[in-house]
Amino acid sequence: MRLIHHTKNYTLTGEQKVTVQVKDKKINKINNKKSHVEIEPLNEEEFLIKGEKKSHVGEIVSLKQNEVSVMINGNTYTFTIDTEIASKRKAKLSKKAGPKVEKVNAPLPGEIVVALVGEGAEVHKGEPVMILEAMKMQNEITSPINGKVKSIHVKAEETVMKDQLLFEIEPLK
Amino acid sequence: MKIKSILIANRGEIAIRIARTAKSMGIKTYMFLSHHEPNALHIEHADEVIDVSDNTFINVYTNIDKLIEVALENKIDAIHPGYGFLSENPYLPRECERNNIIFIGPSSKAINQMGNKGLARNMAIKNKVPVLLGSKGVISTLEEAERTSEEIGYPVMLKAVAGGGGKGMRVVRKKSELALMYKLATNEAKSLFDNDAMLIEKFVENPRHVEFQVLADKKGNVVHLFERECSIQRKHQKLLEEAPSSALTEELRAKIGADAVRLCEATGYYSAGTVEFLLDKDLNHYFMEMNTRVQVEHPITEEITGFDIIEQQIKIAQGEAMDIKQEDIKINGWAIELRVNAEDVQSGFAPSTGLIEQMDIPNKKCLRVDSGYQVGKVVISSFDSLVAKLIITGKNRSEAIKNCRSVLNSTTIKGVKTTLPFFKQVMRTPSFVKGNYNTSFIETDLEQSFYQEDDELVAAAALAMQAYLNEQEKINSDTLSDKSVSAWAMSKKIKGN
Repeated sequence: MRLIHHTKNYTLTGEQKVTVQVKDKKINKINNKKSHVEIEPLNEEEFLIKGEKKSHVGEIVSLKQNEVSVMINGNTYTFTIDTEIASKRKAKLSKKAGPKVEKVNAPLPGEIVVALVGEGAEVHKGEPVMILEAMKMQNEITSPINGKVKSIHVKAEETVMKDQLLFEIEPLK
Repeated sequence: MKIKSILIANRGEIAIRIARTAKSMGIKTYMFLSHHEPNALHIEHADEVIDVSDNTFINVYTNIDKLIEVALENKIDAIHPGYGFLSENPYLPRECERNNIIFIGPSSKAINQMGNKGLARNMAIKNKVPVLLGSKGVISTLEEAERTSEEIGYPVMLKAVAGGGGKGMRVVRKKSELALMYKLATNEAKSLFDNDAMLIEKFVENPRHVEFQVLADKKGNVVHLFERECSIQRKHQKLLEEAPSSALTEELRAKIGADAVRLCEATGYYSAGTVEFLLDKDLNHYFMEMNTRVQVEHPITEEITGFDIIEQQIKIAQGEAMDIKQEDIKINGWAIELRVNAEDVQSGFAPSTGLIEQMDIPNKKCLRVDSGYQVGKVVISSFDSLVAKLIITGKNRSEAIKNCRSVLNSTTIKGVKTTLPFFKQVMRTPSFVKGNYNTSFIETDLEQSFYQEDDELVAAAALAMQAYLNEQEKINSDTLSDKSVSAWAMSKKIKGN
């Protein structure tokens, strides 16, 4: 009897893109190269990831549907896992929908010192939009893209929670 | 008068550091228990704890009246302010004097004179210590700032007169940037120092930051304990310091050291202090500012000279004449300090707060750890993000770097993200290893801000993929329930979901 192999290709999208081929429910190829990675649990939280050259100790920070965050050597890697087909479809759709409005949230709890620009102002990527005081530091909250300030959701002296929406930037057409 | 008790008006590692020396001198220590940190580690190092946790309206470390009240009530001889908070506030030594409490630090007059950047600059000029081209007096309007910047010529540096610790400083490269930068700098200065007056100086491109540690007693004896190189900075915040500096020749070291000593002699300065200089690419040095307190990075100087700076501060405060002569002070070996901050390097050094779940730091002869945290303690957003200072020594610079790598390889902190991956990267960056770097190191020399090991990305992807597959498997088996589940999936309940 001949074995019928079942293979599926996945795309892991994070800071860097990684492709993984899964064959019979096992990782077969990573970035189109035969994978020799072996994973075994070390304890409640940690895994030993044995690679070809080196072994790493990693842990899973969170797993929500197809979003997985892992930590290795103090670095965090967050991936969105899609099948290759779904990933390509998503890329196509987002291109069609045009540039999307960037929402900027508070990176940590604190107090808004001042908004440096008003709604409708044009900002460049990396330019400060407001100042958030936390941990004895004045943190500049910068624009992630070149664009126009669509809306500002907080005002000076307002106390904000972590991840609270601060402002939205609309990309320039 | 011999000091028998000290109120340590600080927290974290520096409170513990001061207590360590005080204890060795047979001095009783008092510290505060505040509502911010009910289980703070420093409390465990105090002989007596003053509980102010009921009062949630004050920050005791910045409240002069409260400090004086507590010192008087408990008949405490002296107050040590540490760094930050009230350490460079001239009103604290003034109030101490009025109430017959010894302030372990310089005089109120000296803090006024040297802590104010404008006055300190004039003092330097008067004493023939080189300074950068700059504004004559303080700047308090945008119009003045425009006029002065034009005269000096761009790029210029805006500096808060009352600033310190790298706060309230902005570089302005061209006229069009001035209005925004002026607004940012004055805002920050107003909020942090309650004084938005500015000073404008010519900006030096890619300078090195070299500072001299000084010790001066009340009898007029002044010595310096050589320099610290602090050029590895991000937004004027130091991340790594080393002593000595690989930029200085013996001749230059003696020359800058003499400038630092002369400045202290001229102002009648006493206690420990730090005179900061910029070094341009042609090795010209310029006086930048003086810090009239003990610095975060003081341990590297202690490691190479063998002197306990806190002990010297206490002895000077109780009026003893310093028995250290300049010619007795020698540089012995090399020391590097790594500031392990609770910051997420991958997200632009954003502060990372939370419970410290794991903190494994090796025990090595070449390593001194000054920390205010341990496993089970919480890093909160109310205070600075310093978790631990790793002070690493070697008989020379290359051995110190080698030791840094080995310490970094066996150090693990979990629960908060830290600057450890950043330091691993620094130790592998050629310009650092050669000792040929300046304050633009992070922007220009560093390939990326955190170190990734070989195949780390692949390992991360594999782990993420496997976790995802296991979860899928679990869902399938839960729904079908008749199918067998892999042992691996059974043995592992995925965390966080």
